Amino acid sequence: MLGVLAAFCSLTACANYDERLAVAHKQFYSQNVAGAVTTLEGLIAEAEGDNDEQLLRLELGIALQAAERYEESSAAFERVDDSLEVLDYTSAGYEEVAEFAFAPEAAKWRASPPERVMLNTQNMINYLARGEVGGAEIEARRMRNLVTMEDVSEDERFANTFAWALAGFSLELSGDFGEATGAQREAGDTSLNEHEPAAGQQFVEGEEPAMVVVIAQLGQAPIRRETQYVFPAGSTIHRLNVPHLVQRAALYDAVSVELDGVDQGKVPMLFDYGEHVAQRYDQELPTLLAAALFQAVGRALVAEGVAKAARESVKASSDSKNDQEYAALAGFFAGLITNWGLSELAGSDTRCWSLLPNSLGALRLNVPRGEHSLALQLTGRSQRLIRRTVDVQPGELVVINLVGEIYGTYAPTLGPGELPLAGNSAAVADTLEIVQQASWWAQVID
Amino acid sequence: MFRTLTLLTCCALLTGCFGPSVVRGPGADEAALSTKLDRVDLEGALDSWYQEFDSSKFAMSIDSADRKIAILSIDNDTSEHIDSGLRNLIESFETKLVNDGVFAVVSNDTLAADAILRERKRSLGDDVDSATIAALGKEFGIHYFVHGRIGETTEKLGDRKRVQYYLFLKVTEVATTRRVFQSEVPITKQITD
Repeated sequence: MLGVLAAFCSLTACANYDERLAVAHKQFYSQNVAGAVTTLEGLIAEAEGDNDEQLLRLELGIALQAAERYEESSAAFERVDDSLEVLDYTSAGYEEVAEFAFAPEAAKWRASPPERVMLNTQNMINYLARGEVGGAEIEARRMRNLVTMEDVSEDERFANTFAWALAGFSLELSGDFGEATGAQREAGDTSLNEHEPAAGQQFVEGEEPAMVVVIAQLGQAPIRRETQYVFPAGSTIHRLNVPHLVQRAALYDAVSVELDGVDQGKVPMLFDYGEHVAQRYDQELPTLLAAALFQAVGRALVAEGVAKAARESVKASSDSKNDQEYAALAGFFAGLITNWGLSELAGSDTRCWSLLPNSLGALRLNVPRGEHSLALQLTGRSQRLIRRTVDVQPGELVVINLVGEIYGTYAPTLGPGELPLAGNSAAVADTLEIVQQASWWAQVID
Repeated sequence: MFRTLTLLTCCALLTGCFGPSVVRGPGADEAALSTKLDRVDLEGALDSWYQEFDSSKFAMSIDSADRKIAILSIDNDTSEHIDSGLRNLIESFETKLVNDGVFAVVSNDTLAADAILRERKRSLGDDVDSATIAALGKEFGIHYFVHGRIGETTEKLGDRKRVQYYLFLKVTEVATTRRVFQSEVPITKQITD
């Protein structure tokens, strides 16, 4: 018995995704983007063909983009794009969720719908930053096809305003005015539709203006961590593993722009990815809990069987009252060890695209040809001033892609750990309360 | 547990027995690996278009091999990154025209090397403006040019994705800006998981 449990534990000793990414994660968020790229490339070489490979390539795409290696970043995204599968926990059945959300060692990672849209959005940024409008145009169409062809609800279809605004901008630049108008309509009135000269600038008559676009990617997207809910049922204590959404604090929450010494205001933040993911998580939670319970029933049955066998084994060896109490205790611990050993094996899937920003915005500045100086002031919990000079030709597009969190010091994200029932969200507590009291649960494990 | 161990054992045995397989030759070209356009699609499209072009009234009416033609560009209006495939298509098309000997071909590379024309081409929509047409005649002595676009209709049902491409190629006479030949080639690709 102990041997079997030891084997279980040795299997769980394999590094999970969080541990696998830890070094690259720390490098990325502590001003060592080049180090993060090298680490991720090493991880991908090891992960070739495994369940995390696609996710690691997406992380690499973000790190390469932050390092301004846009062409390689596009290659990383495009390698994943055609084959990336999507699983929507809000609409999938609990059996399917149980298969993917609670067997991370056996299941290939599948993106959530917001992550899938971010792939094409990030690649649009790559193409625009390289001045390859044709490539951005194609990514805009891919994004549009994705959200309009997949089974995406009307509310969510146009939620990523940043993606639609960028798509409209890319399509307009490439001369597809009809398609551009459609995308711009979905995005609403954004700075990317602006055609007037930036404050303090004057166009030269008869000359096509140039464009400077400041893209701000601020904060760190929420990530998933495993939460273990512990509660008594039957003759032992049971454990439920549920992926929990953890918000991460942002160093900067705004970017103010000065162009040639003239204030241009803050970069309008168009999409709060973190908030969107949090809203989705509330919708996912009932399915995730149902799937966790579906899986926990099997573990409970085995644990109760082991507890019963341990009790009977001790009882059979003695009739004394003390030994009867010892039998109950032995049964309790045997059940507990079995249940928790099996819980370790069935960890929840906490894999998610971790290097994404929390919010995205863009500011378009129309300028005449020549040299222009920019002062980009990042503000929030921390402050940082970044200065850039651009020399533009008529009709030229220059994109300044500001990934805020790479200009900071690393602060580790703590997982929620082992939490008692109290102190969690009302939805979780209520659901578990019902589970504990449900007669079917007691009947199943008896 | 048993399932996990069995799975691990099977994986270890399988990876030990089989390495990656490499296929060479025409048989390898036949398999479609994605919904993007591959060489077989482009060759098929080109053959189909050229047959129609070669037997057209316009091609038949050309009586002198001094008439200059150039392939200007094929605009990619799809959601696939197929620009390198389209460049190959232009070169294959030029090869056919050169070997056929009906026209004198001005290479697309020559046009691409001209900065002003390159800038004009960058902002081209579906049609070529009159200033560009005039420049083609004046600067390069071109009598006809080919300009096209490729569009798509994409549909997805469950795990099945189908992309229907439409390749439109048009021949325009520089002197009159008259479209002297136009045809459409459909290509369909489908992927099923």
